[in-house]
Amino acid sequence: MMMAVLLAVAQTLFQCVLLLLLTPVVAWLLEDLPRWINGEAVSGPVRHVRSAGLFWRAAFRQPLAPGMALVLAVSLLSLAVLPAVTTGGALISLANPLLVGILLLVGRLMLGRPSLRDEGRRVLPAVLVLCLTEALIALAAPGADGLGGLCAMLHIEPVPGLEGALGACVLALAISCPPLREGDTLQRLEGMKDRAARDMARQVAQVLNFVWIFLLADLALPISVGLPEAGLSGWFVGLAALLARILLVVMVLVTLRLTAQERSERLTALFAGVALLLALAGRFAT
Amino acid sequence: MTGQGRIVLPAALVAILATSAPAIAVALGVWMTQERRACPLWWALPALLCSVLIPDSTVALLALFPVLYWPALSSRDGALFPALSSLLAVAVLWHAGAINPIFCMAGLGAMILLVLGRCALWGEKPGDLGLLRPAILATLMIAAQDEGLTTGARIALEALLLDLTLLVLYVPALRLLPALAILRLPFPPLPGFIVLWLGIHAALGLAAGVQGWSVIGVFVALLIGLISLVDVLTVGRRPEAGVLPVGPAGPAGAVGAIALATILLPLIVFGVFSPVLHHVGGEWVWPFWSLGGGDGAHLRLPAIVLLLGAIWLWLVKSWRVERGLEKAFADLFSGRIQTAQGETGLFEEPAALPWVLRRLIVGGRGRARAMMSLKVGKMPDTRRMAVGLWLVLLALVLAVLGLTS
Repeated sequence: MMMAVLLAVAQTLFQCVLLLLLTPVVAWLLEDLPRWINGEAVSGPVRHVRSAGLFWRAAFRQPLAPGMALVLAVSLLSLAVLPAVTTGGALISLANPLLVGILLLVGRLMLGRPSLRDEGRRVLPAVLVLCLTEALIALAAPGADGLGGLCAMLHIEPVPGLEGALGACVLALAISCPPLREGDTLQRLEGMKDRAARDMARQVAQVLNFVWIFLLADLALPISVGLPEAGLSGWFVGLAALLARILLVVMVLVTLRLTAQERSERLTALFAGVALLLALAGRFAT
Repeated sequence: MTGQGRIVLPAALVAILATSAPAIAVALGVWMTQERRACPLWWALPALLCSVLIPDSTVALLALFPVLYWPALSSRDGALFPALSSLLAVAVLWHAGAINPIFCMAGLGAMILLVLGRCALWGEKPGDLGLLRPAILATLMIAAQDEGLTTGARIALEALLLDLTLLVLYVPALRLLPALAILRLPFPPLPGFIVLWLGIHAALGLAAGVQGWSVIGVFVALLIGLISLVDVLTVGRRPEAGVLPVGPAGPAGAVGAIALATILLPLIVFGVFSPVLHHVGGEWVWPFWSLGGGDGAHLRLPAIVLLLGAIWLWLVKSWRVERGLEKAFADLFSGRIQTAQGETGLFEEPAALPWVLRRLIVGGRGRARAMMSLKVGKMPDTRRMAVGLWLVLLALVLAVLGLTS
């Protein structure tokens, strides 16, 4: 009993550290991959990793501004809560998709001073799609407690309709509310004069972006999260699946950006409709 | 009226309304004469007469809702007693005889969409649509009771009680400590989020448990989400100011009050009303640490609050500065609430219809004229409406699926 609790805590800590290490790499991918595909010369992720290291050193030693600290706390909490390698984390019972999703969106609204006219158009549809996701999970997999319960349930009894619906929901979320770009962050930090504070805010934005991508990845492919009963080999499979699904979501986001398909209300509505259709079809088929 | 009276009076009213139907009629009459802008008589009189003559009819019940919500939704200034219309609506539903919940829900949904559509087209800010949510939740509860899902009924009742409490407290809160109004917002861990989450799960519990509710349940869940979004736009907005003042307690005090109310309000509401929950749900529960959704899902908000607070404190390191915590609270709040209530660009200007639609309307008019003089009209360019067409097709397939199940 004691051993199991310790293992779960250790896994949660490992998950946090691993994902925080991945954060600068994903930020680099989001920033430079579209340019690389366009044929420009890009540098490696060393700069991103170094600035992230500096940021965390500063965060450990100095106090942060309260607003920024709240956004970072929301991101860290979501990182620790969502299922990553297996569903055996210590805080897995808190991983409710609607809760985590709205927390992240609120964090997005609290970062700097966004222009509400633009940001509202992105966040409000995303909240509706999150409600739809929660509704579809409750409809197609009743009895599942949050994302952890959903993963476990899908391992026992696959529900193809729900999986397809979740994929469509994730596409709708990715289209309506893509991660923050460099320009968005610059616009939010307009009033901020202090250079250290600006760098810090940029790093917080990177962490927030990464957690949003991580949530999308978990929602898109909940079947790829391993179960704690699978043993050591299952654990390594889960680790590989974690990296693979994050990479997949990043690729999808980059493709959406390159083809200028994001932030389109019509496509969001279309994919939300597809999700509803798939889930209902799956329910009526059984 | 003192602040205490504002809370005690609705509470006494709830107690009376829950027990007797004639009291509702008297309350309705008194309320209609006192309200700032009552429903026009040509609608109100027949609706009231019908609801008295045919108390078991769902149509008569539906006709009552516009009467109840007219003051709150029609005028720009809002109603004098906004919470009272919700209370009366819930009381009417509670005492209604054998109504058809699906029909009632469809009527409520149509009413919400009508109000929203009017606001979007005329460029007005919508009134407090959150007032309609208790009626939806009460309908859900009645539907769940009709189908024998006691747990689902209890979940809907929990959401209903919390929502009604928030609505009743909203007006005195705006007077005493305006910052407390944000408790209604659907952001975790505020109580408004609990209402949203419980409402979605109550609707979906019904959708999963009863065959005829599959499609409707999902739409009700989306409707509740939509109302929560409108809440974000309207809560705390005053007709004259547009900005929510922090209140006399100062920013630090306001954040402290919000944190305290977030933790304590669900605790107190569920504790005080636990006999009612027991009466409807069949078991003694006190859902605080872990709120059940009725379908196996659980919401453990206090754990989230504690963890979030711990991480935030560690990042802010408030113990390094003297009175650091107070300063951090004040800094967290300053400037934030103004931006949250600023202009969002929605519902501000009359909708300019897209050229496709305008062309369609004008073309239709032209065609009608051409039909009159028996000339041949020209088809407008509808290629860009392909997405709309697909959505309509999707909706058709959905409807067929829902009907054949």
